Amino acid sequence: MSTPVDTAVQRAVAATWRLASRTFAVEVDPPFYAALVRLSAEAGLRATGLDLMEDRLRSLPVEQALEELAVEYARLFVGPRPLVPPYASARSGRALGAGPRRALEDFLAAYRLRPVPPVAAPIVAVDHVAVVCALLDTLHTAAAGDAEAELDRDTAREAIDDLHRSELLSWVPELLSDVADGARCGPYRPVARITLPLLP
Amino acid sequence: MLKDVADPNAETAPDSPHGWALTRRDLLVLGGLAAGATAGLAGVEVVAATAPHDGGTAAGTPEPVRRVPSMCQMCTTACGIIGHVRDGRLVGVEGNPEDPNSRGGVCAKGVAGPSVLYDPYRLLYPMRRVGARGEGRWRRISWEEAYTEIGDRLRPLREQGRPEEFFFQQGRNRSADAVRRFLNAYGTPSFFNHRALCSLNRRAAILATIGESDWDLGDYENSRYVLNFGSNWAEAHQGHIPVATRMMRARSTNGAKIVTFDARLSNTAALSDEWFCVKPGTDGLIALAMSNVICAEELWDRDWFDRWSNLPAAEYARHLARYTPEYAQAESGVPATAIRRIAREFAAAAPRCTTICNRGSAAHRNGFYNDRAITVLNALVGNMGQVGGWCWHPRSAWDTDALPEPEPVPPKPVRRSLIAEAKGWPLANAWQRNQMKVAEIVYLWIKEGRQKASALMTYNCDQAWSFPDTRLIREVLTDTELIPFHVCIDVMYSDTADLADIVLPWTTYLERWDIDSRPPQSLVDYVGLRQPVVPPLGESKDIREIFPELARRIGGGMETYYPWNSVEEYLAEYFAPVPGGLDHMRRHGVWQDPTKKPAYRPYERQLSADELAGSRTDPQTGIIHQGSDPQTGEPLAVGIMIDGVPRRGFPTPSRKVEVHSAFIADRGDEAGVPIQPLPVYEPIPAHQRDFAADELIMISFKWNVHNAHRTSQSKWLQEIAHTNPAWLNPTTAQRLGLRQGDWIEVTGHRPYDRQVPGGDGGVIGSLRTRVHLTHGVHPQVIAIAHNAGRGQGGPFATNGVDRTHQPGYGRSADGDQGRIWWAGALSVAQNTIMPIYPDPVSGQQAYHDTVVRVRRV
Repeated sequence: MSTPVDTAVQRAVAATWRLASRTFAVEVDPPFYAALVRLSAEAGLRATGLDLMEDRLRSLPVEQALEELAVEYARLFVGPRPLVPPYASARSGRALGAGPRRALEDFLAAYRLRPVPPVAAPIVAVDHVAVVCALLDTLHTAAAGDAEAELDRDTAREAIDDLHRSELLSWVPELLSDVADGARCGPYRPVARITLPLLP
Repeated sequence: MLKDVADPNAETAPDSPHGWALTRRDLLVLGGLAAGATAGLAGVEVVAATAPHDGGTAAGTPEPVRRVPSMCQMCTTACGIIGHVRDGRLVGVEGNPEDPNSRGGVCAKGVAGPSVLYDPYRLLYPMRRVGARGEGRWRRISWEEAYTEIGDRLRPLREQGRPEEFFFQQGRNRSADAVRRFLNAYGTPSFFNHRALCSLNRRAAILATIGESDWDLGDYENSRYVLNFGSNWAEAHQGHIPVATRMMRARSTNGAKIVTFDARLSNTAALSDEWFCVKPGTDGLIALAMSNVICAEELWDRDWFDRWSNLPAAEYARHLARYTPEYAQAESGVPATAIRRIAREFAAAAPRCTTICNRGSAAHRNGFYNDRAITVLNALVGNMGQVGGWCWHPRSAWDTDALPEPEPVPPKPVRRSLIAEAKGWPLANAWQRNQMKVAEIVYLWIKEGRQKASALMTYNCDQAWSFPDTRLIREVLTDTELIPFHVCIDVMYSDTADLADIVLPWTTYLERWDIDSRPPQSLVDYVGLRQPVVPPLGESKDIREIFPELARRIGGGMETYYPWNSVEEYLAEYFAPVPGGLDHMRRHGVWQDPTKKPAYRPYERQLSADELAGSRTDPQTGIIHQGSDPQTGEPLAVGIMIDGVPRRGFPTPSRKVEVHSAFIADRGDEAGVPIQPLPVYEPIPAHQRDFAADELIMISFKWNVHNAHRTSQSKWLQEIAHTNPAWLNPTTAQRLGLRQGDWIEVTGHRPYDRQVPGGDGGVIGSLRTRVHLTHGVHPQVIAIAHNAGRGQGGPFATNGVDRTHQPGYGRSADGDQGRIWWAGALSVAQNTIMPIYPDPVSGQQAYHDTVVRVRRV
C-alpha cells in the first residue's frame, strides 16, 4: 500500500528520468529549448541551485543557442569521437550493441516492454543511456500507479528492484558522472547531477 | 541514493560527488517542474510489447544463424566471404569456398570485420563543421541538409562550365562503376586515386612489356620456382590470400622453391626457402645480373625469346653484359655466387618458374626500371603464359563484354585537369585504359595554384595521414582559400575527415552492395557480389545511394544517368546475363562461366578466318592490321605472323614482348624526361654517396593484420599489432650506441635530386620512436611500420594518442584493460617525415628511398 508521499516521490523520480531521457536522446530542439528556458526561470528550481540553461546561452539568438547545444550534444554523445559514449557496450570496451545490449533486451522482454526512440534520435541499440532513462521513467510511473500500460504497480516495483539488483545499470553512474564532469554548456551537466543521486 | 530520497522519512540525501545534494524536497520540486517541462516533447517511449523482441526470446532461445555470401573489403583483395548473422547481428565471418580466387580462405583482417562494423567510434550520422577547420567542433545534420548543401556547392561549378574544379580523391575503391558514373555524369576529370602510392611502377612495367594487362598472375600453384622481389604476399599483397594459399600449395605439392629478396625479414621472407637482405632499390640490378648469367651460360629459351620478343636474344645478351653478378653484389649486397646459383636454378625450372614483385622493388625512384628488368627476366626463360610460369589475364576484373555496365552510361569528361594529367611524369597516364595519376603531387600542386580546386570530395581515403608529406596535405586541407569546400565520405573519423566541412557516414563493406572481382589468380575471370550482410547502422549510407540523390540535386541532366529506383534494380540489370541473375549472386556470391578455360599462352592463339577477313599483313614486321582506329585513323593491329601462322600475339606496338620499348622512350621524349627503352639499372642518385654514420635509408612496411586506416579502427586487430618501433640491425645500433628500447629521433630529408619536386636535400621533419633490434633488417636501413600514428578516430585507432578511454590508460570499464600488450604502445606517423618523391619516369612514390638521420634522445 503506497502512501501519498511515496506516490509523489515515484512520480517525481519518473519525471526526472523523463527529463534525462529527453536530454540524452537527441539534440535540443526549439520546443525543448523553450521548455528548458521556462524551467530555468522557475523560482522553485533556482532555489535548488540548478540552472538548466545558463544565461550566456539564453542571451543568444535562439538559432545560435540551438547550434551551440547541438555542438555540445555531438561532442558528448555522437562524436566524432564522443566524449561520453552513450552505450553500455561501448563503455565496457565491447562492440557497439554487444553484450550489455542483449542483457537489457532480455530484461525488457521479461517485462514485455519495448523501447521506441524518436525517428531522429541517434540511437542504434537499446543499451543507450536515453533508453535506460526512459525505462526508469516508465517503471517509476507504473510504480506510482500512473501507467497506462499493462504494467501494474507491484510488477513495476519488482522490476525496479530487479534492475537495481542486476548489473544492468552498473555503467550508468559512471556515465552520468562523466557527463557532469565533461559537459560545458546546456542542460547536460545539471541533468546528470540530478539523476546521479537517483541510482543506488 | 534512490532509497534515501524515496524514503518519506529522509529529508536529505548524501552529498553528490559533483558538489550538489538532492533533498527529497528538491526532488519533488524538480519532478513537478520536469513533468511539466517534458509534457508533449518527443522522447524515447517504452511501450508494452505485443511479442517477444526480435532478438530471440527471454528464455534465451536464439534464432538460427543465417549465412550471407558477400565479398570482403578489409583490404583490396576482395575475397569471398560468408557472414554469419544471428538476431540481426553479424556474429562471424568465414571464407566463401565458391569464390574461385580465395577458395574459402580468409585472413585475420577478414575475420575482424565485425569489429569495424560495430566499432563504437565509427561515423553514423552526417556531420557539419562548426567553427574553424580542424577545430573539432561538429553538429549532426540530416541527410536532407547534407544533400542540399553539397548540391548547392557543386551545381554552380557544373552550370558555369567549370566542372574540373570539383576534385574527387579516392583511396581503395571497390565501387569503380559507381564512382566513374558519378564523376563522368558531372563532367570532372579531376579524379585522383592512390595508385602512384601503391602499384604504379609494377603496372607500368607490365604494360610496357606485354601491353594487355597491368597485373601479373604467376601460376604459383603449378610452379616449381618462385623468385620474389620485395612482395609481401603472406601479409599485405593486393592478392594476399589467393597468392599466399597457392604459394603454400606449390611448396607442398610441387616442392616449389621460393627465394625472397627484401630489405626486411617479412613474414613472406620467413616463409621462403631463402631470404636475401638487399639494399633498397637494387632488385632490378639483381634481376639484370641473373639475366646476364642466363644469357652468358645459354640457359635461356632462345627460341621462345627470338620468336616472341622484339629484340634478338643475342642483342639483349650484349646489353646485359655490363650487369655482372659482381656489380650486383657491390650494389645490393647479395653475393655474386648466390646470384649465379639462383639464376641457374630459376632457368632450370623453366617454364614452371616465375617471378613476383611489388612495392619492395617498385616503390623506388628507380622502381619502373626495377620491375621492367624483373618482368623481362621471365621472357628470357620462356615462361610467359606457361603452366606454372609468369602469367596474366587480359581482364583485371570481370568480363565487361559479357556483363556490360547498364545504360545509360555517361560519356567521359571533355574538360582537362592539369593535375590529373601530370604530364611531367610521362608513364603515369601513358596507357589510355590504365591512367594512374600522380597522387603525391596533388596537394602540392593545389598549394602552388596550378589548378583551382573549388570543391573536394574525399572518399575512403585518409590522405592527411597516409600520403607522403602529410604536413603539407594538412596545411592545404586546412586552407579554405585553397579548398573552399571539402566533403569527406568514410566509415570512420580520420585525420582527413577532421579537416572537412561535411562528413558523410559511409557504410562498411558489410552493409552495402557492389559488383566486384579481382584479377583472377586461376586465370579464369569471374564476377562477385558484395551485398549487405546486415542493414546499415545508424544513418550510414553507401555512395550508390548518395550519388544518385546528389545527381538529382545537381540536376542539369546528371539525374538521367540514374534511372533505377534502387541499387538492387541496378544490380539486377547488371547481373542479368548471369544464369539466375541477381538471385544466383545473392545465394552464391560469385559466378564463373563454366565454359571458360585458364588463359595460358593467349598470344599463341591462331586467328580465325573471320578475324582475318579484310586484314593486311605488314611484310616488314609481320603485324596483321584490320580496320583503323576511329580516333587516330591509324591501322589497328590484331595479330602477327609467326612462322607463317597468323597469331594473336601481344597487344604491344610490335605485337611481341617489348624488351625494347620505343613506346616508353617516345613518351619520355615528348615530356622531356629521358626513358631508357631497354631494362636498365639506374642507381638512386641520393644513395650514391658515402653515408654519414647516422644516415640510414628509411623503408615502410605493413603488418599482416593491418591494411590502412580502416584496420587501425579495429580493436581486434589493434590488440594484435598496435605499435611501431623502428627496426634496426644490431650492428647499426652498436655503431650509433643504441640499445633495444632506446628512444631515438628520426629526421627525414628530401632527396638531393633535381628531378624530384623540392629535391633540395632539406629536412622535412622528425619523429620519435623506440629501437627494436633485429637481424631481420639491412644494416643500412631503418624500417618503420606505417600502420600507426593516426591522430583521430578514437582510442584504438590512435594507439594511445587518445587516452581518455584507452585500455591500459586511465579509467576504463574495458575488460581488456589489463592486457599487457597495450602497455607502451607507440604511435608514430611515418609519413610526416616522408617527402614527396616520385619516380621521374612514372610518378610512383619512392616510399623506400628516404634518407634519414638517427640520433638517440
